[in-house]
Formats: sequence, structure tokens, C-alpha cells
Amino acid sequence: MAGENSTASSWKFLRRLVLGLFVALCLALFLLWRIDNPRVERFRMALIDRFVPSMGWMLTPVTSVTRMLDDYRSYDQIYQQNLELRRELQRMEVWREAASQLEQKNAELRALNNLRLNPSLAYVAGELMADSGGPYSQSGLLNIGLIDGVADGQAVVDGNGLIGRVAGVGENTSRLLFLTDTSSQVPVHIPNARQHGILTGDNSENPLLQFASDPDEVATGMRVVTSGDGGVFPSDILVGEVVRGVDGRLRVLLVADYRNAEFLRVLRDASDDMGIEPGGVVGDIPPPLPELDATLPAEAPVQ
Amino acid sequence: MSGWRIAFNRTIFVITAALCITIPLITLDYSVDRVLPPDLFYALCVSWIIRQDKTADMPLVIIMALLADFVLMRPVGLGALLILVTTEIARNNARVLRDQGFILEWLAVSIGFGLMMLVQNLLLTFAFANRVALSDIGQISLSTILCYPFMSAFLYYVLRIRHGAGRLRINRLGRVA
Repeated sequence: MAGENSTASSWKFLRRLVLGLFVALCLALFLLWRIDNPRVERFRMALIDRFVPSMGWMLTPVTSVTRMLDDYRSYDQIYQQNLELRRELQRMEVWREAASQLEQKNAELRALNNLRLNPSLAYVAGELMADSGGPYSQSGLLNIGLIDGVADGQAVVDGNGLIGRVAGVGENTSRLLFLTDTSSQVPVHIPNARQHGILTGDNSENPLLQFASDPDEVATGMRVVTSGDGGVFPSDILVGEVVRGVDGRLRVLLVADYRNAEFLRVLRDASDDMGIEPGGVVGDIPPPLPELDATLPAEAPVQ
Repeated sequence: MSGWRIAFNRTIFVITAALCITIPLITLDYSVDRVLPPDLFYALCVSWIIRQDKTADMPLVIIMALLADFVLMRPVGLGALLILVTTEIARNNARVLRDQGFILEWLAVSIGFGLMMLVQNLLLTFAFANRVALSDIGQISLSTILCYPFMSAFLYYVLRIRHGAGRLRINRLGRVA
């Protein structure tokens, strides 16, 4: 009887010890995540890169069925949509004519100026395959990764305009951080007001437009495009238009369609490899200064 | 319960947990105001442990909880820690929760989830990390609470996760075998 009791109590003690160890492990991981975030995020991306494609047998059919149901629901509004599309088409016919005339004029002007456009901006198309699965991040998972030439920081666009940037790359998948996420900050330009600003996500549908040099000059309805400052994003990608939020602050109504995002394009500069390791620092990395090395004396002068 | 049955149920637990982690990833709507999925993993762990704690061991729970943290973009380690603590509380009170009937079990599990989310937000505040909006907490809590009876029914009737199944058999003489 006494033996049984001592076995039970030692078993209880062992169990508490293991629980304590697991609690300590979790706390250590949490601290590591806060302190050395890029390394943990790299590990996270590598794990997702293995786990999510392995669950594709379930993800693909369920997504397809959900999409079919969604399409079926949209049949209700098909007549209304058809009428709307016809009206839009009529308007677009006028714009097409104007665009073709402008294109011709542009070509003539380019020829006059002997202008060479940068042909090196390439893109790779991918499919948005999964959500972040909760409120912790406004992001999605793309089915293209390192082997397709995707790198951290590259701009991602849908058919309408900028939707976000790549933030985490695995072999076969990459994470797309939406403009609405709190970690997203994109330098933008408002051509009509000739002002620059930073588009900052705040987990709302319309991200904040901050640091405009003269906010009074910025009016609602003005077009917002990427400025290309910092050398991460190409310039002049359409982002949206300026709106004023209920709080009176300047915000941007995004043109990207987050409700029906499916096929997206990752823009990459084919000529200029940014050379960023996954999880590395995004932006211009200053090159080493060989002149400085050459000017240094081989040995320190003896005092 | 025989050894092979325990091993089989552990495998089922791992597979079901992997499914519960994957299902929230499925969506067609990526907008900010999309409907947030319930925390299926929490519902699975707690419901399973209350019914059959032997086959959802602490190491299995912690491994799957860490996987959920990584895959679902949660704060790494924090979600696993809170799941571990909550499931251990459920494990220690499993008999009481079972004996009080399902409504009280449901209530306790719901309060547990709400508290877990609030403690998580508190710890995120201390760590100067981004917190989850209270409206999002409310939405996730509500959907998790609503899905809990379905998860329990699925475990009980489909996967046949029951307490002491096959152990306390009463023979024709009324004796416990």
C-alpha cells in the first residue's frame, strides 16, 4: 500500500516536472520570437513550406467546392451584373479609343526623345492558396517560392493594383503581407498633389496615409501610386485613391480586390538582384567601400 | 483500454489536430472584415481531454499546439503555453466536468476560452507586441463556443472518444469486469 502511494506521488512529481519544463520551453520560445524575430519567422516559413503543401489533398478540394458554392450564389445577381457590365463596356469603348490615341502619341514622343524604357521588370504569377487562419496577421500564402525567383520585399499586384509585399519565402511557398497589416508600410506618391507619404496598415480596410508634407493639399479622390523610394518597390504602381476616414484622418481606398483575390503577380527586377536572404533586411544595402580599404595603412603607426 | 487502441486513438488525435489546424486556412475572402474561423484546435483538445485524457498526452498536445502557433501566424510559444495550461486544468477536472453534465462543461469551456484570449492579450501587451482587437476576440470566442457541441458530438459519435470505453464492462451478474 505504501509502495503504491509512493509510486503515485513520484509519478505526480514527474508529471509536474514535465509540465514545468514545457511551460519554460514555451516561454523561452515566446521570448525568442520577440527578441530574434527574423530567425523564428524563417523557421516558421520553412515549417509552413512543408506542412501546408502536405495538406494540399484536403485544401484543394475544399477550396474548389467553396469556390463553386460562391460562384453558384453569384448566379442570383447575374442579370444585374450583365446590365452593369454592358454599361461599363460602353464607357470603356470610349476610353479605349482615347488610350490608343495616347499610346500612339506616347510612342511618337519616345521616338523623338530616343527614350529607352527599362525592360527588366519581370513578374511571376502565383495563386493565393491559404489564409493566415486568424486575426494575428493580415496575410496569405502564395504557391510560389524561392525556386520561382520570389524574394523578400517584392511587390505583389492583382489585376487592379498593389495588394501587398512578400514577407517570408520558403522553397515552394511564400507569405504575402497585405497592405492592411499593421507591419505594412509602403512609400507612396500622390501625383496630383505632388506629395509623398507612407501608407501604413492598421488592420482596417483603408490604411492610413501618413507623413504627407502638406496634408491640406491632399484632397479626397486623388490617385495614390507607389513612389519607389527606398528602392524596394517599383514606382508608379497604382495603390488606390485618397479618402477621409470617419476619424478625419487621410486614408487610402485600396483598388486591390481582397474579397476575390486568387491569381496574383509578384513583380521582380530581373536585372538587379537585391540579394536579400529570406528574412533579411529589405532595402538598399550599401556596397563595401574598396577605396577606404586601400587608403588604410597596412600597419598601425607606432607611437 | 488495450495498448493498440490507445496508440490508434493517439494517431487519430494527431490527424484530427492537423485537420483542425488546416481548416482555418481555407478562405476565399482575404479582406480585413472577413468572418474569422473558430479555434477548432482548442475545442478539439479540451473536448478530447475531458472525454479521454489518456490518449491526448501532454507532449502530443504541446507538439500540435506549437505547430498551430507556427502555421496560424500566432505569437510563437504563447498560444502553446495557454493551450497547455488550459488543457491541464481541464485534465485535472475532467471527472467533475464529465459528471456535471454537458451544459456546465460547455459553460466552463467557454469561460476558459474567453479567459485564455484575455490573458494572451495581456501578455502581448507586456511584451509590446500587437494585440488582438477585442471585437476579433469576441467573434472568435463566439464561433468557438458555438462549434464546441459539434466538436464534442463528432468526437463522441463519429470517432467514439468516450471515457473508459471498454474498461468498465458490467457482466450479466451485475459485476464490473
